[in-house]
Amino acid sequence: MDLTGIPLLDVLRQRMSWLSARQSLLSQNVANADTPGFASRDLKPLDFEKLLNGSGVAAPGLAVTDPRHITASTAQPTGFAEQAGGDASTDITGNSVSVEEEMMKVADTQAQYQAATNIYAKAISMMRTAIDRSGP
Amino acid sequence: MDLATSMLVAASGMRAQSSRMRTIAENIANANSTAPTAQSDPYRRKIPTMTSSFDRELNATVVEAGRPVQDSSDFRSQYDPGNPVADAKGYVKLPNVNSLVEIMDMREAQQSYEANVNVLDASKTMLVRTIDLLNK
Repeated sequence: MDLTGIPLLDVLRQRMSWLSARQSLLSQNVANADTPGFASRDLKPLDFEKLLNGSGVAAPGLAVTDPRHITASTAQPTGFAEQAGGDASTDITGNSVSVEEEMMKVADTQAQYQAATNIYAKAISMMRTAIDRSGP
Repeated sequence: MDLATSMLVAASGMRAQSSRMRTIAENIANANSTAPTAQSDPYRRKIPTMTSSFDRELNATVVEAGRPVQDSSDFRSQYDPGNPVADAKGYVKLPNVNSLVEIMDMREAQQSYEANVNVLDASKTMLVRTIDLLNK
């Protein structure tokens, strides 16, 4: 069993890769804030229900023919769907990036990422408590 | 590695803004440069340009500073008959640089640069938090 097989950790892992993919898109928006004709982009929100039902997990591991085999995980960060940035203004050059809104999104992404890493650490420490009494 | 990508994209934005700043500095420095002779033209204002390009290696849209284009508007002229490069009527041709416009442009470049620095900082914090999970 690998760590990605644990549902809670897997959901958190996907959440974190979604957030870092979003951060990458936001940084592209900010870098191109003065490029004429550049349209801002964002990621579609993660579907929490899908994530819980496991259908958001598109990572089939290698098939095993014996229960003692270790499944090689091919868990790649799945491609996340993009959508238009939805910033309020388009300026005269056709650029639709609003730096203020992007900065808000960046701060939001950062906070959510922090939440995800904290929950991850907490989950690990709870597991450790279950394994032996001398938790951290 | 999305977070590293987003840091590199933010760096490309910073590079483009500093190149823009260099063009603005040239304009401001030459705001009062006259031509060497009465017949030739004085310094002509340069307009910084930005283009976005898709970086296949990063799989992201980065920004690049394009070649500055020349501003083709008319030169300023000032009545100064004592000047050695004045024409027959006593007028001296001065560059078509408006310092007010340049200062505003400079502020904009500064703001965009700061936005990129903030994104870089946010991405770095997220990356560090992920690495910190190893300590837990």
